[in-house]
Order: sequence, then C-alpha cells, then structure tokens
Amino acid sequence: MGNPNILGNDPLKKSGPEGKPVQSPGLRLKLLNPLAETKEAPGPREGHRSRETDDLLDNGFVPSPRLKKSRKRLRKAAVRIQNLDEALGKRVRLIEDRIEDSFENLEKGMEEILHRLNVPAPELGNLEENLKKAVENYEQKFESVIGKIETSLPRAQERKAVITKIKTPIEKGQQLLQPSFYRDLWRKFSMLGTGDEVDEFGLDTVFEDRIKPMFDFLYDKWWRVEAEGIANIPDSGRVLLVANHSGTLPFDGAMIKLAVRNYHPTRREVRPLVENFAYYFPFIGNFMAKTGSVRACQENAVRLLEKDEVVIVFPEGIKGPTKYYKERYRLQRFGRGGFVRLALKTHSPIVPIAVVGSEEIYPIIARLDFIGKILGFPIFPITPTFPWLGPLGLVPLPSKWHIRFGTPIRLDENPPESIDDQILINHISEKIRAQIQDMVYELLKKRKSTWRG
Amino acid sequence: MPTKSKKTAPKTPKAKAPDPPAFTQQKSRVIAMTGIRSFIGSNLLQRLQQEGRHQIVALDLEKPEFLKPRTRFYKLDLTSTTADVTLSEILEQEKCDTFIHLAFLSRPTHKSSYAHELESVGTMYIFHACAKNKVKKLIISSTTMVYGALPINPNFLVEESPLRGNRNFHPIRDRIEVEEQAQSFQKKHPEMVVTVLRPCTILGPTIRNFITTYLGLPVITTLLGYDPLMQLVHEEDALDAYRLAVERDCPGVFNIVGRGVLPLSTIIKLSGKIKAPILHAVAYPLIDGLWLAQVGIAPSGYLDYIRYLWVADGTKARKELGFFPKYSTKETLETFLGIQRLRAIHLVE
Repeated sequence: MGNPNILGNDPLKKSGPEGKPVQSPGLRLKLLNPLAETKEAPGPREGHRSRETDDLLDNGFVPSPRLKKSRKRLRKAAVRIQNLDEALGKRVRLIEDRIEDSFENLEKGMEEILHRLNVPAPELGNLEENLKKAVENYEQKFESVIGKIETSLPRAQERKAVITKIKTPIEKGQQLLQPSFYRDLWRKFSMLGTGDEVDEFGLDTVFEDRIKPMFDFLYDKWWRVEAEGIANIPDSGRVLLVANHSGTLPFDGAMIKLAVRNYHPTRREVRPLVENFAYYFPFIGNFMAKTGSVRACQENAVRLLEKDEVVIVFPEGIKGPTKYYKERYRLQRFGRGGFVRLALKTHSPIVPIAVVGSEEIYPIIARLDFIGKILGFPIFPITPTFPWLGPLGLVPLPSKWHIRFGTPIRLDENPPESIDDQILINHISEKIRAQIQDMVYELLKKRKSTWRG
Repeated sequence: MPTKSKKTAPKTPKAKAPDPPAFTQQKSRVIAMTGIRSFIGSNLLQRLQQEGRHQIVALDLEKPEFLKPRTRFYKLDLTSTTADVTLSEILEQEKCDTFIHLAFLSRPTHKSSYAHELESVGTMYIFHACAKNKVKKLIISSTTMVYGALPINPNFLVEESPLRGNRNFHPIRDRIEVEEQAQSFQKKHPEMVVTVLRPCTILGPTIRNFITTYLGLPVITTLLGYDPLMQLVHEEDALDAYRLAVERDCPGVFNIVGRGVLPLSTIIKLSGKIKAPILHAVAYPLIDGLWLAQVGIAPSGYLDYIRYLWVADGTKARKELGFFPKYSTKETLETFLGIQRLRAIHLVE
C-alpha cells in the first residue's frame, strides 16, 4: 500500500478529484505509441534490480506485498526515499557546520577574554595604582635630572634658573603647536573692546568704559561743561529727564549722561531714547545700543521705566538739532506730548534740563537737504567748517557749556483718566517747555562769552 | 576730579523659577505626531515613548528606527492631494485626541514649491482632518522669525505683535500662513485647544539645523555696521516647552526663548571665528547669487535677520505655560561652542 504520509494519503497513489486513480499522461503516451521502448522494467523479475532498491533492501526495508509485486513501484519508492535521505543529510551537515563555526567563534572569544584579563593593560586594572606608578616614574626621572643639576650647581638660585630655562621653552613650544592657542589669542584680541554680557537692551558696560576717556576729554577740556542741580535727580527709582536738543549730532545727550555718571551721588546710568531713523543706518544703531540708548517707542520706554531706570527724552525731536543758527535757543514744539503720557502711565517724576552751549558746536548757516535725501540723511548742513574742510569740518567747536537740572515735577495729583485727556497733556507739555525755555534764558543771561563762559 | 567708579557688568535677569500653573488632569492621551524625523520630533517621540503614559501614532514618510513596538506608524505624505483623507482615516481609526504638527523644514531649500506644499498646504490638510475628527488638542511648531526683523521693532516682541515677516520671501511667508491658519482655526473651533509655540533660534549639543551650519563656517558673513541682538534657546529647554504643551492645556501663542540677549558680534567673537562683513547694498544680490550657484547656505531673505532686531519676549510662556529656560543665551552658546570644538577634533560625530 505504500507508506501513508501525515494526511493519510498514499503518496504513491495519484488520486483525481473524485478519488479515482488518474492515469498519468506518461502511461497514455505509452499506450498510444506501443512501439516506443519503455525504460521501465517489464515486470517483477528476480534478475532486474536497481541500485536504489538494493540500498533500500540492504538497509532493512521490508516492502509490503503490493510493493514486492511491482519492482517499478519499489524502485520509485526507493528513489524518493534516497532523495529525501540526501536532502536530510545535506541539512544535517549544514547544521553541523554551523554549530562547529559557532563553537569556534566561542572558543576564540573566550581565548581573547582570557588573554585580555591576563595582560596588564592600562585600561583595565586599578587606575589609582597606575597613576601612582606613572607619577613615581615621572618623579624618579625628574629627581635624577635634579640630582644631576644639584650636584653640578650647589647654589639654589642657579638651580632654579636653569630648571625654568629648560622647562619654559618646551612648554611654550608645545603651546604654540596647538591650534587652540591661536584661536584663544584671536578671541582675546577681538573681545578687547566688548564685554561678553549685555543687558536686555544691548548696553555693554565694558565698551562704555573703553570709550569713556574720549568723552571725558570732551566734557572736561573741550567744552568745559558746568553742570548744576544734578542732585535733583532722585537717588533711586524711575525718573524721566526732559531736555532741549540742539547741535546736529546728539552730543548733548552724551554730556548729560556723563554728568550724571560722574557727579551724581549714586552714579546712575541714563538711557536716552533714540528715534527710528538711527536704526536704519549701519553703524549708528549699533553704537547707540552699546552705549545704552534704546529705540524710542512706547513699549520700550514703559519697560525701561518700570525697571526703575533713568530715561532721557528730547521731545523736540529732529527739529531741534536741525534749526538754523539764527533760531538758536528757541525751543521748538514738544512733539505730541508722548513723554507726558509716558510719565502719567508709569507715575515717574519729570526733571527738566536746560543745556546751553550745544547750539554753537555746529552752527548751521545753510542746508542742502536734497543731497541729504540722496545719501539717506535727513539733513545736510552747511557750517563754517563742514563741507569745506572735509572731515576736519566734523570737529565740533569748543564752546563752553552750562547744564542746569531743574526740580522734579510730579504728575501724581492728576487722576488716572487724564491719560486720555489730550488737552491736559498738551497743557502740561507746554508748561514744561516754557520752564525749560526760562531756564535756558537765565543761563544765557549769566553767560558772558560763548567760548569762555 | 571725582573718582571714576567701575561698574560690574549687567547681569541677565536672575534665575528664579516661577510657580507653575495648576496641572490639568494627568490622563493618558492618544497623540498623533508628524515630523518625527526632525530634531524636536524624534526627541519628543522618544521621551514620550519612554514615559509610556501616552499612546503615540507616528506619521511620516519613512519609519525611523527608534520606534518601539507599542508606537504605531503610518506612512503619510503631506504633499499628496489626498493627504487629508488619509489622515482623517488614520485619526478616526486610532481615535487620536492630540495632534502635534512638527513637519517643517529646518533649513532653507531650493525646492520652494515643495516647501510651500509641505508647510502651508500640508498644514491646511491637517486642520481639515483635525476639524473632522474632533481632535481636542493641537500643538503647532512655529518660529519667532514670523515677527520679521525690522528697524522699527521694539526691543521685546510680545505675542500680540503683528506678524511683519517679509511676505515676498517664501519660507517666512509659508510660516506666516501657518500661523494665520492656526488663528482662524482657533476662532472657528473655540472648544479646541490650539497651542502655537514659537521658539527662537535653537542651539545645543545634538541639534543640526541652519544656524549650526552658519556658526560652523570658518568665516561668518555679516553685514557691515549692523550688529543686532540675538537670543538663543537651548535644545533641552525647547523640548521641555513642547512637553509642557503636551501635558498642560494652554491655548494660545507662546514665545519660547532663552534668558538674556547677545549681540551677533559678541557671538562671533566668543566662538573665535572671523567675521566677513559685507556692505549691505551689495550683500543681497551677492548672497542670492551664491545661493543660486548652490555655493551659499541661504537666500538673501535671511540677511534681514542678521541686520535688524527680532528679539521676542518670553514672559507669557513663563506665566501661563510654566516654561522656565534653564540656560541663558550665553550658556547655550557656550555649550554649543564646546561641542563644536569636540567635533573639530573628531571626538564626537
């Protein structure tokens, strides 16, 4: 019957869809062509045996009676079994090979581990002991050298000098070979003028200290500024300073800053508010930020005052520094009262400041604004020195300055709704303007000469 | 002559952690994330996986290796026209209630139309799908560059400031469109929690983005005479902000910035590099030419950001989100420079 497989089917029996045995096409062909010689054995005969059946029978296979009858079927079975046997043998050999390989790898790995454990490598082993050994080695070498020097030069000073002579060039040479040395050198060089920390508005105290000597010279020697009433600025807390503006370049702001910095009891830092146009140009905005100026807008100013800083505004705006020499010391309109609104919102006192002497540093006798528009500047002034002497014309004239700080004006008695009261704000703004104008006239009366005081 | 006193350098605001807002219920969410191969995406995903509290659905073009078996991955191409349908099906199937959208480019690219499709139109698909599936919480990643760098900027841009980024410049215009979509989405669906986080420049030991390339150049290009203040946030702090946004329900826009500012020239000097200042009149066409020739690292629209101020204010994030940056700008820079030095001697990859 043949050996049934797991499914219970006889593998040697080909069954069709209805379970009936199907004639294989080979048989049909044979029937069609009876003259073709079949290679099959004609029938079970004792003489005809094939190699496979021999193997099979030798291995102890006991064929069933049906198989015994048909040698052909036996041979087929034998062939199939032999194929299976070969495949199984191959598989087994593959698995054996793999097991052998893995064993070899294991052995190698074990050998390596043992090897490493045995060898006294510097990574493994006791770090402390190794360090101690290294230090001892070094000390021994050093001592031997020192010993030689000691024996040859008994005096301690000579000994020390020779040792440092030997050591320092070696160390310096080693340093020079490292690229990080050059990078650190470049860092130190480029950081000479700047600090590595800035406050949140960009003020850089190291930069300020570096340029202070130039401004000190302008303050003490060039313009010989006399400032009075600095103590009117409170020692702490927020203050809003209001001053008149003149002189083409904002030197008056710089001088007021320096006066408060040098002469105020608590040396307060004054933060000027700068108009927008300065930040459109290349170098100006950068310089302004580093020395503590801040762009003039409501958010910035409110933030500064709420941090209890001293803020100075020049409400005349650009109209102040660009007026003609013949209109000097006549204060222009004080903007739209924004500074009064600021003071009301943040409840800060206002200190009016009058500056005399800054009108004469660049006396503008004419203006060619169309040239300025081409270059992007708001004005192009013609002074007795400017376009003719070239860059020398930018040197300001050495007039004598007087700065008067007025008494603080408190706006607290105004109710909080007055922020929206435009008429009240304009009124306060005009009052302050008039007060500063009076202070300016007083200082002008006292002044005997423009250049000598 | 009065004595001249020496002032100590102004310190950045003192580090004091505020009281955090009350925690919302610590429930476990089903979070869908896009952009998981970006820096924030991959790190946030790995941290959420490690925590194990939330079920995560990762959506991207390719499956990364760090996904654990519990995290489900779906292939999603935001630039295909049926992306919203696909996404809607995924969201419905997985029943997601949180969506984190981080699929944005971290570097400028030449393929501007692809970038527009991914960032602007892809975000639109995401909003469609989220609206349809009633996703409860959306977190969108943006940047403080959308405020625009202008000379008329105040020194601290708050979240309510108008977005004045240059609309003629494609990367910034796409991001502004994303923000506008987020605003209109929140208006239409007031019950959903839409959080938009705007980190400034992120630097740190492991992040690689456009800014690390810029600061890694041997000679750094700047504009002659312009030195704006810059702020940096450390990568750990940025990840912390996203984690807080996931855990707490805070609708609105938040600036994620580090403490303190530094001028650009100080940053370059501290890193020991050489500045190459270019005159601003010729800089824009020059940089554009280099970009088109594939030599430069960025188009000229980014030059505004090293010319004018674009510093943002982080107090709203501190108060409402409870985000407190542990690293100041200077400390972030120092960490980054340290790693750059190790990379230069090939001790770190």
